[in-house]
Amino acid sequence: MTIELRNVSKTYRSRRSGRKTVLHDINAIFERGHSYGILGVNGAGKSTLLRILCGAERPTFGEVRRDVSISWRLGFASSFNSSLTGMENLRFVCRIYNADIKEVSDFVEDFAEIGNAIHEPVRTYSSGMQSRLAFALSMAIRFQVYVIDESLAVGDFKFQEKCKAEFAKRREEADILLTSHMPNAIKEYCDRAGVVHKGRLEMFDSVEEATEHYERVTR
Amino acid sequence: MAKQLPTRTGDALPFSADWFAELWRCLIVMGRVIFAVIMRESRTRYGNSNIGYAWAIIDPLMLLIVFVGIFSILGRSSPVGSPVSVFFVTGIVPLLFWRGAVAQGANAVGASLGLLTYPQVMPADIIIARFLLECATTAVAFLIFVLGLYLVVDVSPSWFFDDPSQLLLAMLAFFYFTFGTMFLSSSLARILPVWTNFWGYMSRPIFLLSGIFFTLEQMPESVRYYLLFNPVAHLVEWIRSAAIPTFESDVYSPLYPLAFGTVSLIIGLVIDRMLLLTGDEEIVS
Repeated sequence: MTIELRNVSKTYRSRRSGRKTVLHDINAIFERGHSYGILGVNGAGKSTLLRILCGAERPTFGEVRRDVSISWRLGFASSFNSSLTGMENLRFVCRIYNADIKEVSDFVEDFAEIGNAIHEPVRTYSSGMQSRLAFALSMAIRFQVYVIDESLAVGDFKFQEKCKAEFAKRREEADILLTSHMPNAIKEYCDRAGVVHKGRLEMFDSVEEATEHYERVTR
Repeated sequence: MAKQLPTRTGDALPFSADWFAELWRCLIVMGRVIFAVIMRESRTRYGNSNIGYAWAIIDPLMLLIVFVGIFSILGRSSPVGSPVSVFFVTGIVPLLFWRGAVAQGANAVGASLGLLTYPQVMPADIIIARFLLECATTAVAFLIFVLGLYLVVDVSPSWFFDDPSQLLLAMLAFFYFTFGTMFLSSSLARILPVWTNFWGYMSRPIFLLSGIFFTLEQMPESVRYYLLFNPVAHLVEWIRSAAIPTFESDVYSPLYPLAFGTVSLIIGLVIDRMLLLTGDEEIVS
């Protein structure tokens, strides 16, 4: 067992629109050794599900069990402080994960290929540079599960190939949990998949079955 | 390269050996996070400029000059029998610390939403880190003032250290009170976005009514009755009693600010926990 969700529900309250249940009674097991894709249209609850999976947020009801190390949620939303330099942000992440700053920065400088920009404030980065830094950083800190929101399509083609190669190299130790609204993005990395639709999650043993289901419910 | 260890939580029975082991692990992570946030906040506390920290001195210094100036124009002497500068420094430095800490608490979470992406970073870590940083900054600022007054206007440092053990006690009480109100401030800002503005307006009158330019002791009974509702005024009086050799007041109560701080802290913690469990915050912020 890697990550297990038991009767997980998530409700948000808003002053304007009242209660909104984003996730309804979700039961799922994510097993070690498999990479999972989560399909869903925008607003289906994919990001909320990931936040709960990686522990950044608690479910309103239900419980989450995990016995692996999970990365923070990688994706478009930046967790960097924009007025600090890339290096200062790197040090922060090393400190909270108890990683060696020297080793990590060596790896990141080599992997992210952003050169001297690492000593510039993050606010001067392009969005591609930001995601490259975030990816390189999470790769340097060796997690067992990488949680990636909205596809791996960061940086240019070359960088994507590099990420793919790195994940292939680590197949034994690192799994991926990837969300997307495009089945094709998931096929490349995942061998299993689930579909989030109207707040419910349905898991499938193959990406093909999930894709079929996804296309049926969203049509 | 160090691999991340799996995290397992919530299985152990309360107070069993496993439970304590887990608690210990959590505390270690918390310590790491607090340290990391301190390092990070210390770079952003006063923006990116390198003279940023000079503000920790300039801010109280300007107030000090204004107040000493007003007192000398009015021809008034210090009500505590010490040099006027000693009287004002013992009021201005603690009060600016408290006002700043509460303001820092109010935007602690709102300004750090990016940090909360990392699962192990909790709002309380950010508040504790900011609090420790404020304490350290204020302690350094205070010592610079003591030294500066000695070198520039020849005010002996002994004016500030009448009863060191009492002073330490008073300062610890002040830190505790500040932490409690700071925590409450951060929780209030999370449920009432208007709190930050409200504090901006409220803090100035409270600041002036806390005993910067008077002592509770010299006030007539009828006025003092109302001033004593302000917990900070008690603490300033206490600090001055302990610090200044020629001043001893018995109109303050050490218990009132301590109780006030404790109640604030408990309310703040309860709100924090409720927001954590319900996850309502994402909508508010």
